[in-house]
Order: sequence, then structure tokens, then C-alpha cells
Amino acid sequence: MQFIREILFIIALIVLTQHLFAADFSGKYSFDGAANKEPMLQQNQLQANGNYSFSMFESKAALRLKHDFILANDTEMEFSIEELFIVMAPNELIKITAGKKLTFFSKTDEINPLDFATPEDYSYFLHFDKAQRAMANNLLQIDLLLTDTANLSFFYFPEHKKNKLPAAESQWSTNTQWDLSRYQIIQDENGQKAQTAAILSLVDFFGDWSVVAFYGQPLLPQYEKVLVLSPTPSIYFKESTERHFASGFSWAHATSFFTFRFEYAYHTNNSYIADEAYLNLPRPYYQTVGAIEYLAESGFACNLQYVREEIIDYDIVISQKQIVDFFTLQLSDSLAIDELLYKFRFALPATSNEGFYGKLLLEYSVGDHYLISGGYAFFTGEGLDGLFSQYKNNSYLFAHLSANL
Amino acid sequence: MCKFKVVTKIVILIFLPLVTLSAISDNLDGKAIATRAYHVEDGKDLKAKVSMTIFENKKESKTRSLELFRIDDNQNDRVLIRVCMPQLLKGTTFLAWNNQNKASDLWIYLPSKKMSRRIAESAKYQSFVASDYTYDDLSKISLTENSFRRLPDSGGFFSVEVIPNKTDSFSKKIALVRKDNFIVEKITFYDKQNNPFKIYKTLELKNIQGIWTIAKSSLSDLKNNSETILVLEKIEYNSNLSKSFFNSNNLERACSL
Repeated sequence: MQFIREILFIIALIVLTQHLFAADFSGKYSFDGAANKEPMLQQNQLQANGNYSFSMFESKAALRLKHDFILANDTEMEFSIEELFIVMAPNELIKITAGKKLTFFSKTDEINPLDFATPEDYSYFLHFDKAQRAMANNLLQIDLLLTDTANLSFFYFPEHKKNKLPAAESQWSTNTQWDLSRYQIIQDENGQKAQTAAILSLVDFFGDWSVVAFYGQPLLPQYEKVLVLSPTPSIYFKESTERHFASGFSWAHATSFFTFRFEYAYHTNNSYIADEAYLNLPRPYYQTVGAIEYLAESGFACNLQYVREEIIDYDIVISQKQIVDFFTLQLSDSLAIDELLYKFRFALPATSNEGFYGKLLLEYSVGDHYLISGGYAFFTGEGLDGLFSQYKNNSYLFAHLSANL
Repeated sequence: MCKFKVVTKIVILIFLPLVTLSAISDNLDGKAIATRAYHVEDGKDLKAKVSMTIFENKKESKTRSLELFRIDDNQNDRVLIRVCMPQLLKGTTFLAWNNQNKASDLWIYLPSKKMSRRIAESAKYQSFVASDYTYDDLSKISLTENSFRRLPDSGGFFSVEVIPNKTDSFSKKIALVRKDNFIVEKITFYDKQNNPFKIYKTLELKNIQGIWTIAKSSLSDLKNNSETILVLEKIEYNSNLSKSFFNSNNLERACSL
């Protein structure tokens, strides 16, 4: 009964959206399925998109109904507003955006050091494209076009949205805290956190540059219990705060066939009670990515990346790896006909016993509206808590179908 | 006698410019014709809606709707092309800064990735929105990256052989250029084996705001037996587009034409 109600609701919403956004309306249905020895996920998604422009305003909405069906478990139905924002451009030099919107600062593939403010859904490994995993934030964004080659953007996020991690009983729950930015730092704040960010982007003879600064702290005061043993044991509360500061830069330069990219980000996350650092593990760390992309005139593309994350003031008590570094490789090309593409992704940690991860995808476009793809994702390795080897029983076959109308 | 002089003057006044023009035309070498064609009057800026129809084996198979924006400051031009239809490609935006003295700067905005990224120049030679056109086919023939040689005139058109200075996807092109306004009428592309593999044709010229405009053109791929016809609509010149419109960090926009 609830399922029928949800369906009726989404139909009403689509009709309403079609009316409101008559200027430009589109819809998409997609199915994703995965299977291996264990119960795996099947996911249906219905998405409605609308754009409407009037005067100096431009609005966009993306509404999504997601139906997860996990074999041997309950089904889950979720309706979400993926994006809903309005853009006001009073003149060509300023643009103001308000609403719920996806934001990306990073220009690298898969590992994105500069995406400080983009929460992601890691519930399943089904979606390996960042845009599919990313979740939108409520924000106020101001873009200033300083010159024709320079932009300055400010972001204010009134609330902090956490990454969605795999449930503890999930076969994708992690044994290690290997990925610092994704699994650790952004997660461990107390209470609601407001965030601000600024990004300066430049284009010059040497390529594209951007510098990003990010700061987040609780919107409201937090209180921590403090135990005092003398003169008499007592417990009282002190105002506490937790601050997260991150900064970084990116660079990209293209030649006839190659594009070079580099990104670096530095994070600190500090906790204070009444402005005194307490039981604080500062754990400043950096994350960096260097990439070389090759694009042939035939369409063959190859992308090789080196990734390193390192805790700078490493302390054994935090039980994390001090250094994680690995390579990623992506290949893609068309097979026999332009409509049939293959894509291969591969990741190999530089340290031993971490295993490796690969994904082979075949994609076929049927006309302009339908896309069918499928493939195999595999994990191998010996270590029980290795970066990829911990998932060695989770290799799976997957299929995707989408209709865009 | 007097009447004869008047008639003679009239004949001279009418035919002298033609004779002079013919003499000038006869003196033009390949590079000079290419230069005149490159600098043909095309306004300070342009915006237009583009419809693209792709034929495979003579049957219509796909249609595309695009927006085209261009600005030219006599040294470098900037071109922005946004896909409005079909839905699968909608929002994909291609930005090129074509520089006179260095390689083009290219960016692509992919709505599926929600970001714009700098890409290598080789992207210019790939199929554009699954049509017969590459982005390079939509650009003017570069004066610095090719050598030009004039061939005997063909059917009342200048005929110019275009040879790339470095290895390219073609071994040569033969371009037919109109003598009256230096608009390119036809280009035949030759592969490495010197066989023709692609033919561009101007199908319709329109005078819009005093500027001769290629309103309809076609590109045939002789190997795949396919053809793409491109029609420009809602053409507007000199609408004061600013350079900031062509900013690589400002590509996420809805279609507006």
C-alpha cells in the first residue's frame, strides 16, 4: 500500500513539475543490479528534471524516487530532492545561487582531494562514479567573474551533511580507516556544523589553477562533560567546539594529446574545550593526486593517477595507517562501432598485502535515449584488512539500464 | 563621336572594376585566398540555434539541437557550443579559445560529472555529438598550422590545396572558395592514401545583418555512407556578448535560445 502511495506521489510530482517547468522538462529511469554469492542490491530510480528561466533567474530541480531491493532483506523506498536551486544573475559579473545543489571543486578522477564540502554515499560499491555517489548540500553560493579568466566563488553551507557509510552488517563495511578524508575526518564532528568555502580559479598560459579554502565549525555551542577529581570528584560541562580547516590547490595543463593534473589538500581538525585543546588528536594530513591523461584522435583514452595520503603528526594511538599510496588506471575506447564502448578501471596500492581492485565495463548506446551497460568488478589480495583485499569475497557482476526521455 | 565617348566611358566604368578584380584574383596565391577566407566579415560576435540531422545510409537517424556562441577580437576567437537535445547529451558544453599563435585551449562540461575540465587538443578531431562533424570541422581552417597552394580554378571558384604542417587526420584538403565573397563553398578531405573520405558543402547562404552567413551546410562521410546536415536558425550578430560569457568556470547553464 505504501508502495502505491509512493508511486502516486511521484506521478503527481512529475505532472506538477512538468507544469511548473514547462520550459524544459526531462525524465530518466534507471535500473542497477549487482550479483555475486552474497545477497546484493537491485536499484530502480526514477528521476524528473526541470529547468525554467525567467528574466535574470534560472531555476533547476531534480527529483528522485529510489527503490532499493536487497535480496533476502526488506525493500526500501526513498523519495528525495536531489537538487533544487535558483540562480540569479543580475549582471554578467555576479551570479547568486541558493538552494540544494551538488558542488565539486576537484578536477581529478575518482579520488578528489579538493571536494571538502561534498558528502558522498558509500553504502554500496554499485556506483563508482563520483557524481552518482555525491549528495547535494543546502548552500548559498556567490560567483564573481573578476575578469574573463578569473573567478572567485564563496560558499556558505548552513548545515553539515555526513557521508553515508555502509551499515556495520553490510558486506561493504570497512575493516580499516584507510581513506582519511572520506571515512574519518568529515565524520567525527559533534552536532550541526556550518561550513564556508572560497575558491579562486584562474586560467593563464600555464594552464588552469584553483585555490580552495574551507572552514567548518558547529553552528551552536556544544558542551562536553569534564571530570574533575580534586578537591572533590565532580562532573561539570564546558563549552566545546570542533573546527575543521582545509586548503588546497589544483592545476591542469593540456597539450596536443596529454593533459596533466595535480591536486593537493591539507586538513586539520581540532577539538577544544573552552578554547583549550583537550584529548585532541590533531591528525593534520594531506592528500595529493598527480594525473596524466592521454586522448588519441581515435577516441582511445588512458588516465594514470598516483594518489598519496599521509598523516603528518602520526601517533600510534589513532590506529590508522600513516601513509596510503596507490595508483589508478582508466582505459576507454570504442569497440568496432562507435556505440559500443569499453571502460576499464584499475587501482593498485603501492604497499603490499592491500590487494587490488578492477572494473571492466561494456556500454552500448541504443539510439539517443537508451543506454545499456554491464560488467564485472573484482577485488583480490591476501590481507584481511587490506585496502581492497578485505573485499575479496565481494567481486560482483553488474548491469545498468537507463532510459532518458 | 561624343556619344561614342560616353558609351566607351560607361563600358570602361562598368568593366574596369571587373577586369581589375579579375587581375587581382589572378594574382592571389593560395595563402592569400585562405587569408581572405579566414578574415571574411563575420561580425564581432554571433549567437545561433543549430539543428543537426544525421543521415545513415540516406535515412534520417538522429537529430540534435545545439546552441552556438562565438566572439572574435580579430586575434583570437572563442566558441561555445551547448547541446540542448537529445536528453542523453543535454547540457554537454564545449568551449574553445582558438589562439592565433598557440594551440587552442579546450574545455568540456559534462552534466553527468557536473564539472568543466580542460581537455587535450586531440578532442577537436573526435566525432562531435555522434555526428560526422568533428569540432575541427566547425572551426575555420588555421592559417598557421597549414600550407596553402593555389590550384587551377574549378567551376568559377578558387581552388586551394591545404596541406597540414604536421601529421593530421587528413593528408590534404581541397577547398573551393567563392570569388565574390570568399566564402568556402566545398572542401574535400583526403586520407593518408590520398583517397577522398569526407566532403563538406555549403548548401545555403543568407545575408543577415549585412553579413554573408552559411545558413545550411552538410558533411558527408564517404566511408561510413553517412551525412550530417547543419542548419543555423535565430542567427544574431553583434549582440554584445562579453568575454566573460566564455569563461571556463561558467559553463553550467541551461539552454536559452
